[in-house]
Amino acid sequence: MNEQELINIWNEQDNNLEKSIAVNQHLLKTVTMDKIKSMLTIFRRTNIFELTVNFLFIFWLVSFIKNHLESTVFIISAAILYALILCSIIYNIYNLYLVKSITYDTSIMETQQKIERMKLYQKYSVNTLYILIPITSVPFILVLAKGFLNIDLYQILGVTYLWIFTLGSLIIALLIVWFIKQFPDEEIEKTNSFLSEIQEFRT
Amino acid sequence: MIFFYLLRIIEQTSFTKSNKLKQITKQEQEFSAIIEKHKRLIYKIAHTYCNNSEDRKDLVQEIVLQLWKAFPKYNPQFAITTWMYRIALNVSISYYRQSKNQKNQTVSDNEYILQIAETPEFEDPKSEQLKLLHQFIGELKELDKALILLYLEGNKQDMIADILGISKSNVATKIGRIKTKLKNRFEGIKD
Repeated sequence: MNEQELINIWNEQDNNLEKSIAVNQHLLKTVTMDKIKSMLTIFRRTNIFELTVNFLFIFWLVSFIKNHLESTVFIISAAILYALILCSIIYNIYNLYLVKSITYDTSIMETQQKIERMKLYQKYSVNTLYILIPITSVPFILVLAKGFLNIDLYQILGVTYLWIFTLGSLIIALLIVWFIKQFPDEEIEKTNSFLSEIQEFRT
Repeated sequence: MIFFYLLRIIEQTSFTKSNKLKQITKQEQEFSAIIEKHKRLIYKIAHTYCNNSEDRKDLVQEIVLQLWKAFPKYNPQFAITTWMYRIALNVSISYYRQSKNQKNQTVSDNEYILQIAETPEFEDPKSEQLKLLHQFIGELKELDKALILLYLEGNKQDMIADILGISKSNVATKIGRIKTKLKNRFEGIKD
């Protein structure tokens, strides 16, 4: 089979399609009224929501630190959470920038690379969260109990208990890392392989 | 005096509103004409990325939606087909790669923007080779599918390079490889 034969086979469908396809004008009008939410819209809204919550929490943390300047334990705990939320805010802003920069009318390679990177970051952020939750659980519990309920868990539970709790949390975090490495996310693998495919396609 | 000003504001608001409405209606008409003119292009891209007819109809819907969203920003200095190919291919690749539960729910279960009448001509046994070609293209990787589709549609190499975002020489090399793959598949069937 030569090149022209391939093209002829492909073009054969044109005549049939011209006769068989009709545009549903009524539905076209419905679509133009923009009733469907795209994947990117949902992703953008989630990020805006997260960003708002993070900003509210960071402002609350600043006032918490101001009110507990005399206690080193609370300042350190709040500072750890502050750093974590700050990273999360930067991540949210970067995601929003990424979503804004994705337009379907740019070249296929550029758009697909951005979409896949966005998916990858999303997956990595979920995995990071699994690890960060146990690591930051002690400062989180200490700060929330003091800030919202005015309960000093540091005094009530004692240093030894909190150290055991922290060590236990670290072991859980390490187990999660081991688990993630043993059972890699299929979606991450697919995304990485498609990103390599894009890279290979460009070279 | 105040009454006079209020009247002017109301008049101006209604004038702006009616102008905007006229503009939207004009845009809708232009868009509708473009879709009508290039319906085959949309269908063929959707067919290349979706074997399942129900999914294909959803994909067509998604393509049209994204085309409409991008339409106000379309620069008429560039060919409409380049713009359409980019959007339709980007949407199709993303749709193809999305897991099923993430896919958007379209307007209705029974209505579709491009209605395909399964005419006797469409089921013509002569189109057996076309079915095979679709099957073989379906076996290719996502990006290879886009490349061969653009090639079979008769686009020039520089246009293909522009749509995909790769170099012209790269286009030529890759097309050569894909054509060989397709020819081998056809020859394999004959044997």
